[in-house]
Amino acid sequence: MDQVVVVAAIASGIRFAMPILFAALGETVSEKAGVLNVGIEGIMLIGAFLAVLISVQTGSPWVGLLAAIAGGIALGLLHGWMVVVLKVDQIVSGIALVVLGAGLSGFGYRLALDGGAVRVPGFRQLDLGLLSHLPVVGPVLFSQHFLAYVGIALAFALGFMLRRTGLGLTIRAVGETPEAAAAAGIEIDRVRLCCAAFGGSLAGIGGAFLSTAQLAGFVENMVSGRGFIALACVVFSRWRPVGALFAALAFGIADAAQVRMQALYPDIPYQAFIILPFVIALLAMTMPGGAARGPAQLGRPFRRG
Amino acid sequence: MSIRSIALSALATAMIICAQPAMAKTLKVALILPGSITDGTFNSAANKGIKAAKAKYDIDVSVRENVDVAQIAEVLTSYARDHYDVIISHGFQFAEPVMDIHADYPETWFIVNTAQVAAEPNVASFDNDWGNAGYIAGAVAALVSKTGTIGHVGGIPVPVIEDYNAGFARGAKRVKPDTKILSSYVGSFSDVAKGAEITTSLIEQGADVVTSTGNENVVGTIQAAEKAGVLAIGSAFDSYELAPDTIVTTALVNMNVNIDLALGRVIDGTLKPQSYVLGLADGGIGLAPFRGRFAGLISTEDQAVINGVMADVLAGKTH
Repeated sequence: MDQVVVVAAIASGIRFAMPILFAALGETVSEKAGVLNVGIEGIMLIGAFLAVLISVQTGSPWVGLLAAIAGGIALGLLHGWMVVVLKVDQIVSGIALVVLGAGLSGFGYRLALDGGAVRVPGFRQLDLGLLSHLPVVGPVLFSQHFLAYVGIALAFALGFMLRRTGLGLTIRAVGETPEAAAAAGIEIDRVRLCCAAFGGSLAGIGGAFLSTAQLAGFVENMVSGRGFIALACVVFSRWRPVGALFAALAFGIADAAQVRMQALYPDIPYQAFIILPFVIALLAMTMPGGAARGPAQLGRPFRRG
Repeated sequence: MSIRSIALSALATAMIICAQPAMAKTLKVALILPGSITDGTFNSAANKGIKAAKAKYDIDVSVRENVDVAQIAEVLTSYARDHYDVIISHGFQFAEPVMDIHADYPETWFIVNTAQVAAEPNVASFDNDWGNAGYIAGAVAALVSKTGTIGHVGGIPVPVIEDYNAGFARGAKRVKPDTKILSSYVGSFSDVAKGAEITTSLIEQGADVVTSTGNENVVGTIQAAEKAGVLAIGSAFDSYELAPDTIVTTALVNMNVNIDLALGRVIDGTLKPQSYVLGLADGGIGLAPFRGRFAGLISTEDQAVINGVMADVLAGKTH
């Protein structure tokens, strides 16, 4: 592979990584507070659909993005209500959310947009003039979508928030030792609901990135498993937002590279390339370096003793 | 007669009535699709075909979408048990399950699209000549390409897509022997984003005309081509409106013709348990017109070349 191909693969890998990154960041915060949401795939689908629907109706991808965030919050809260208030099993509620999201988005698409092709006013890639045309760094660093920079900044901001701020301490306490946190006067259920809603909102943004930045349009089941890969990224990063950034990037760039290698080496069966990102994910999971231990109370509802 | 024997004979009579061949009544037709009717290609085409058939024939239609491989047997038998007269399954993956169960339901016609299977007394298949559709697409792509590099992005390499892909390369080489043909697979029929990124990667490698086969992934290819300002050849389903400045033309695979022919033959009693392959002559494949700015882009010489290609396809001289 020559330099041009490598640069293009990295730029494309960043685009691949972004929907996964947003979803993984939201899930990290949610899981830190003890709420496991395996349904982010469904929330991303709703986000992708709402972003398309509302940006078509208003002509602005930004309003579409807001709609995706609102939809994400609504579904995140629904999941939170099920598992925090009603204390339903978190996996069960999450899986229900996957099905709900797939069904609602597909049905809504047929209902509202007649299931047909529509012109979607999507986000444009950033053009910083001279900067965007620099060799190597131009395509990689200076001509991504605006949302991509937001995602990367958010990873660092959330990392700082979880480690260094009182809010982060509260969230971690709720996920690790809720009894102690409750004794210190923290409303466990309220914090968990907020974190579930936050997780939902970021999954919504991930879906919106897919349907209005990376592409311009909605098709049924377009998230295609990215929500589950985001879940893997959370574990792989050991529940660290900056780690999730690198996990998502590794996955995205591996995917972009395999896409290019397929065309470069037509004699090798294409399946060998398609599994590449997944092999990397599997290897990373089994890497030594501290057992992956999640928040102690992950997946367990809090009952006042 | 005891109550019991009355009940039994009533039941027997009822069974005889039910088992009577369903003549001159509304035909019950089921269409089983592997994807969603909104995919804009493969499944949309079948849905369009069954809608047209519904207007034309006296039939009751049930459409079942998104049937994945694990559900096939269950869906097939449930329609057969409901005494559907015709069960059309849309995709080669249905061939094997159909062969497994067809003998148990001799009253029902099982029709498999995009496969070549047949069995007495009630299995027939309708396949389109995907290889020649690809051939036509390849010839047009090579003609309008300036870089001499063209690309094909397939969803998953199922038989019809591999046929199309091979035909695409042959058609291009026929028109311009030094054309470079790139090919990649998405590994999914619904991952539009990956379809778009793969297309972008082929464009980066010099392709200035791309084509794509599959379901939703095709939308990704067209969007990526539009964004990069290169040309695309549509496949199967005429999707010109999706990107009128990008889609030069479409190598049509008219799956609605399969459905129309199949039902027509069931109704007039001429359907045989055999596999029908629909080519250019039957209207099973075709070439969409060059519209908009592409009407003027095709020179007289180009048009002559295309006419030659079509004539060879008709004559079966493309291998």
